Amino acid sequence: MTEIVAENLTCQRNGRPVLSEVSLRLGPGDCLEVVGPNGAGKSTLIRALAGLGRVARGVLRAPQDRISYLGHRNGLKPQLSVDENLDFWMRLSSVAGVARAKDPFGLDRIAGMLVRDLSEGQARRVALATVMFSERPIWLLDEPFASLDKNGRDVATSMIAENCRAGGISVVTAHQGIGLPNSRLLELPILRGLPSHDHADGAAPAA
Amino acid sequence: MSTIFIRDIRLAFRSGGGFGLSLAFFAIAACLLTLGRSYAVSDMAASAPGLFWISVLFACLLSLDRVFQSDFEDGTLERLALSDVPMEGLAAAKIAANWFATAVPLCVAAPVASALFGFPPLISWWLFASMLIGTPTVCAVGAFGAAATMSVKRGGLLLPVLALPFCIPTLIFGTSVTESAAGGDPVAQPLLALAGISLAATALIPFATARLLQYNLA
Repeated sequence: MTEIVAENLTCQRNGRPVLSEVSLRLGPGDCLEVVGPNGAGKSTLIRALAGLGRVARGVLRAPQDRISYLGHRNGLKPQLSVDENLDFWMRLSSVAGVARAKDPFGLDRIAGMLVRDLSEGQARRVALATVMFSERPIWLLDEPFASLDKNGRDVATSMIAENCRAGGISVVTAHQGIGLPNSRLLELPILRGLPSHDHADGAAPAA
Repeated sequence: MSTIFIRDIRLAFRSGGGFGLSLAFFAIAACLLTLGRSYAVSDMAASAPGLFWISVLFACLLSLDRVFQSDFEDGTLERLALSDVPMEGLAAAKIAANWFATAVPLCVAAPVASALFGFPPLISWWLFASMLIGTPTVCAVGAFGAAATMSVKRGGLLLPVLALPFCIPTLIFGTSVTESAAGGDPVAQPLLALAGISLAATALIPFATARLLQYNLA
């Protein structure tokens, strides 16, 4: 079942609340933008939804085997080429179609390059391609547009919209609203007693 | 699982993979330990298998400290945690790949080194056999330690401290194989003990490692 249900979700980091009492219910076709200032818990929320963080209180139901997650880090091996990285993630999710995945993000031109020689934006494109072609319906993307250019953003936006049209779920975090079509907005406030400059971002480096 | 295995082998042989590094480390460690041990050739013959074993232990652990850490740092591990591959399978595949890419070349290098040191072929042969059977334990224990220390900066120094004590039985039985062979005694007993430890370690440790990985990811 393509559904995410969270009730009064509370997450803590080192005993301090990072995320407090978040409730949401997402079904097929839903697109959610999570916005908020630095330290509001955006990354913590998305990691929790992916089943990667500890939930202090509350209820969470999310089918892990249907989730495609991309965090701040791309999960690409710098010593391997773009093609080898794509092939690795495609094989892991038993999807054939490295050629298909390269097309929208214009990866053909850089397919033979090692990932360590790519720019940040190019590497992000490769990572997004591996996530978006995993044939899993629930996309949890943490700052997917980081270091993407205009064209990259447009491609990613249209693919997210396409995923929702096809009955998937997309949850995307951003500092400001990014205006995804037909999306809901979830604004996370800074929790009291947590100065905004305390953490670099919603999730401190996973320790 | 085979996908992860193949990728890790490929990474090991790429630049920075540390394939040649552990071999070079073994060569230097074996030379230094032997030089530091004794000047009398007769003494050296008795202690050399042990010194080779210790060198291989260190060389194996040297390559293991980044086995999970690099995947953890570049975000691969959290994505693997969500993939269809169970964490236990991931741990087993990584242990197998590390054994194949690091320990097997060392198992080949050790008897070559022992032949260069002038030991009879019989000793070299049993050294090779005992290492081939014993090193899976070292890789498995080392991977467990690596999973425990992956989120620790400079965990590479902590890893041998955690893992080496668990390698003591392997070291004892491993050296007694070559000692028995040199003394003309039957080698089956220490060899079987070595195999038993390896089987138990490779069967059980992936599960413990998987728990540690999940704990460290959350």
